Amino acid sequence: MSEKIHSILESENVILQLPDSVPGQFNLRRIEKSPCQMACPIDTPVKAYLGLIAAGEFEKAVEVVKRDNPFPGICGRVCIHPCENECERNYVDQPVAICYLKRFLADYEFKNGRVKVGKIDRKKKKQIAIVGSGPTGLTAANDLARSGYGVTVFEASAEPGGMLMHGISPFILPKNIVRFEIEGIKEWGVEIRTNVKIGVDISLETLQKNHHAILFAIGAHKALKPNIPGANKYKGIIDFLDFLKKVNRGEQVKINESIAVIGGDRASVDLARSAKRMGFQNVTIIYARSRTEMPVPEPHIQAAEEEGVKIYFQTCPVKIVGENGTVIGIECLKTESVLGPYRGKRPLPLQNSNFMIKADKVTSTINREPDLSSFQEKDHFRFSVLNSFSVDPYSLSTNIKGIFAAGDCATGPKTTIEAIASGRKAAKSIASYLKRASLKKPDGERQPLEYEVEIQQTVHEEQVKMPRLSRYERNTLKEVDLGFSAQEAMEEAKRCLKCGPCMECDICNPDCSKRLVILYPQGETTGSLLRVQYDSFPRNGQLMNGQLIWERKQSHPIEVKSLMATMNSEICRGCGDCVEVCLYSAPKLINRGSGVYISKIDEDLCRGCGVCPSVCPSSAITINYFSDSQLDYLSRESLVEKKIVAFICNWSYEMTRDIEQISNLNMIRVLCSARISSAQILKTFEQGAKGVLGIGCYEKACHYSAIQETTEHYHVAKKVIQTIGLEPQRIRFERLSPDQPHKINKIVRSFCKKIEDLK
Amino acid sequence: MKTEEERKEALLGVLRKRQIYNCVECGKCSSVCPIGQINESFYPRIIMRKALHENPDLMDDGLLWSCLNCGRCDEICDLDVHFYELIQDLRAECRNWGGYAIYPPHNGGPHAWMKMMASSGINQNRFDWINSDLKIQTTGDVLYFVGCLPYYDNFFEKLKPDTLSIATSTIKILNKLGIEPAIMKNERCCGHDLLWGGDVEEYQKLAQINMEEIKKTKAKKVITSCAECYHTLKTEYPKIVGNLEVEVVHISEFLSENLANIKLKKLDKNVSFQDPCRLGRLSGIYDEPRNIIKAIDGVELHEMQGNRASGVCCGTSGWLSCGTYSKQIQTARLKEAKATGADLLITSCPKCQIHFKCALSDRKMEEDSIIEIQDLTTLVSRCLT
Repeated sequence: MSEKIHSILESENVILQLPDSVPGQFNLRRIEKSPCQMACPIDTPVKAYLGLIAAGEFEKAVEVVKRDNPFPGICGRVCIHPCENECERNYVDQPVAICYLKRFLADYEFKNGRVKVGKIDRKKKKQIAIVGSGPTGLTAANDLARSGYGVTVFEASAEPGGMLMHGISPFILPKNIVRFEIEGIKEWGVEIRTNVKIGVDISLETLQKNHHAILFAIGAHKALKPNIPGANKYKGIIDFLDFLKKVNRGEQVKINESIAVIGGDRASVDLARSAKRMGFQNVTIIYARSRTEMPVPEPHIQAAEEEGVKIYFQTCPVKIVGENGTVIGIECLKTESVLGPYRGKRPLPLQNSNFMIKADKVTSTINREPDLSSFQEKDHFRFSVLNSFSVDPYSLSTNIKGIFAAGDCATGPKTTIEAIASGRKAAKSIASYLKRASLKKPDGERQPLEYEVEIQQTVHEEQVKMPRLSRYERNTLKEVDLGFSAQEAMEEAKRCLKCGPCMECDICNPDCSKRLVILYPQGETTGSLLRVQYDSFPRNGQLMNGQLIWERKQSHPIEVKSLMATMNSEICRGCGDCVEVCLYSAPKLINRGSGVYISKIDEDLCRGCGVCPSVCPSSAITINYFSDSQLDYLSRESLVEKKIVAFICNWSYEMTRDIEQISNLNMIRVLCSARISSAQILKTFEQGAKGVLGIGCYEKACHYSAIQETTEHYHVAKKVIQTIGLEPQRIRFERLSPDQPHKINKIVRSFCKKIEDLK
Repeated sequence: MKTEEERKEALLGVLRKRQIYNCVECGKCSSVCPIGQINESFYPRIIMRKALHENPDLMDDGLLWSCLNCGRCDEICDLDVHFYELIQDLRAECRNWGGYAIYPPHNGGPHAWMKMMASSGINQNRFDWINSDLKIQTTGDVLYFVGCLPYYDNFFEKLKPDTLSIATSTIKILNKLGIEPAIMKNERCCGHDLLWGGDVEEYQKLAQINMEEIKKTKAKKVITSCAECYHTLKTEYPKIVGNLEVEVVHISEFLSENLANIKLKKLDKNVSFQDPCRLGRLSGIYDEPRNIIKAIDGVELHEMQGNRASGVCCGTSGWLSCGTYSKQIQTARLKEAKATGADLLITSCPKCQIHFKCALSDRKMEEDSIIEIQDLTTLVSRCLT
């Protein structure tokens, strides 16, 4: 988990912040990401939720996913998952099934009730109209509503969802999932008005008058006919979107014997499989490239083939053949892959390889474009050559002020995740527009880098198999993929190689406003700050506060570790005390043979609370960045001037802001108050303290629930100092709930007064 | 941080003082070292070689803190090289530039209270355990030096070592012999652990204060029940305070001299005896505790294979290192005791008792090494009539 990272310091100066006066402790702004996160168009912290799934923290994992994506259930089913293509596990065996795991989380939420993530920002008066309720429109609506704006979504059809509702077959994406996730967005206060078409039911002027900004996210719902001879000549060439719409609405489709689908994307496979279910006997897909080049996950291709769909790879259609005005087939040519002039392969048709594919119906999924028929010349929109809105690529604003366009209608047909990303981008620039901020791309914006990951020898472990409906049950529109069980999901998530140094899981600090260990840079939601091992930096032996600009010239390798317990197996006695106190069963006793046991700490389960080092009799355990020597240093340095030490739990520390004026008191922040052992308290007295106060949480409010141990530590220390002749009142341990700022104030003041009186 | 030269100078100072140049690297020490038997990276001979090569890295060596100072190597060495004393001096030098035991057991808690005692103005509450059955006084000819027993019972509350029963038993025995011992309200830790941990300055403070306190009681004889206190008071204190003017005896010495004056009832027990290093090898007291055990009617002494001078240490010393090796030594020792057919292991050092009890509290302890542990004084007080 730990590795040396030079590259962070390579390009520019890095800002290091020194948090809470921990001497020699630095925060470093992280500009590197794991490959999966880099690949994701919406920057999902993949590693974070995989880690949480592996630890069995499903609810927290849902939170992490939903921070960036309102549609986990949809993405978990239809996403083309570029993350899996980049997964480092590809070089070992198979990538981690990131997409299926996301779907598992969505299913978990669907079954166990909605997980609410974050809260709405301060309410703002400005109103925004969003036209179109597809993934783009709803993502933008979700983001803007959460920022506090009033959002109204206009949808032309009877039900919101756009392509999600009408363009994807229900056996891949069940509609109750779509409805569930749209409901979730509505809960943020988004109003969705269906059966309203702009330009027909409401004019653009009215919309402009009533709203401060408008976003067009109308998608690309006009399927184009194949651009080959005969396409406009015969009957039987059908609109694939119409077909899918009918399937989705449960309407009757006119059945013929055979259908040929031109194209090789997910929609083609989806359509072919739907056609098979509707009753077509012969279903063929014509695709010009090879199987490996098809932008469809292999399981879907396999499923289609299992269901009886015939796929012609390396085949390109040249002419649609008809008889008596109706289609009877397609004339095709075989192709071969050749290297293109620029990069990548391209298919080259082979001369004289003509052959016929018989079909009564032909459809093409190759191209579709937005339906712009309701816009008139007086609207003065500028459209691009692709028949879509012409927008500024950075801000997505159209040529008319206050009107934005995103998604397929601005970028041309793209995938669901790209639509979501586009919606997010639009929401960001609409917010900037309403704040009258610049919509121009800022200069010198730093691009994130990818971790340079070295794969160490890893055990070969295949992906966990997704349970599916058997071939014979697939004649209905029931969902084919059944989803992972909790057991399977945890097993699969454990395959993650955890590229890079930090797990980014945030379990050490779930509340954004109180970050100690992992901090977010301003204005970003997924970048984190890491703690950096101090001994890699030159020290001047003084407590430093504030910021330090680290210059490239001085770059030293930085050791970055996650905040958790590490066991020195040379020292461990194998007594099992740590196993007994840990509530997360992170330490386990392992038999080393001949009756010698040692304890081993599971990195995925450990939360770094520090209860195990405080009970370890042989001091074999230490917490990264909270070692005993660091605590010693903190108390020793502070005791030079101040004589009372308070060890305050991370979650109560925020409340202590207004009590820092007490001159004789030094507060030391620890993750959990159980980290402080009785020996630590005694050492503090030995260093010259007059009193030691511990503040932790009530049992119910405790983030780690190491209640009993903490009480014992203070009790033991009290008895020892009593024997030595000091008043037991000099040690006190108090519990409170982190929402009682008055109480903490009172406790600290009364304790300080007591110590003053004792002198 | 000191410079390389300064470090070398300091090292040479220690080496000359301890006459290590006698060493011929025969390796006998390594063959008996209890740590070296298990930890392949710790051999006294390797450390000696580094010393002979005058290698200053020796001062930073983490292995410096692994030595138990049990004296096995000293016993076997024909050439008068005192390895464990060399370690003592090296640790003190190491402390001088800020080095310390890397993994002090119990997070360094015992050392903390010991150092707190080194200030002169404290007023301890050490008498909580004294009940009306025990007859004591504040001054007198015979002084009982209790040691850190009241602290151990508090600090290791969870382990329940019951070390205070050693103190009550000792006073009971002395009362039986017609002696009302004096005990000191402000007795300090003898400083044994600080001395061996290299904290010479604090140790000297403790020694000075203790000698002053002892003088106040007008005692002529100091009795200890702890093997470490005995060795420290008797052998180490004269090195810094000169002539002690009091006689220091261990309770086993005192009792074996007075066996004729005490009546002990019958007790049917098979026992074995663990020689504490500080009492046995470092002070040469082997026979006295055995005489006492044998004097009890019905008690049968089964010697372990390693007994007397070849007895094995309890695995930890001076709260300086405790780990997987200590545990293995303890397990092996307990197994050895059990294999003799004994059902009770007797020792006369409270630390041996704590360390063995700690090992016995482990979750995965095997049945063949589970044996009851008791102090010699506790055994005797059980048989008092």
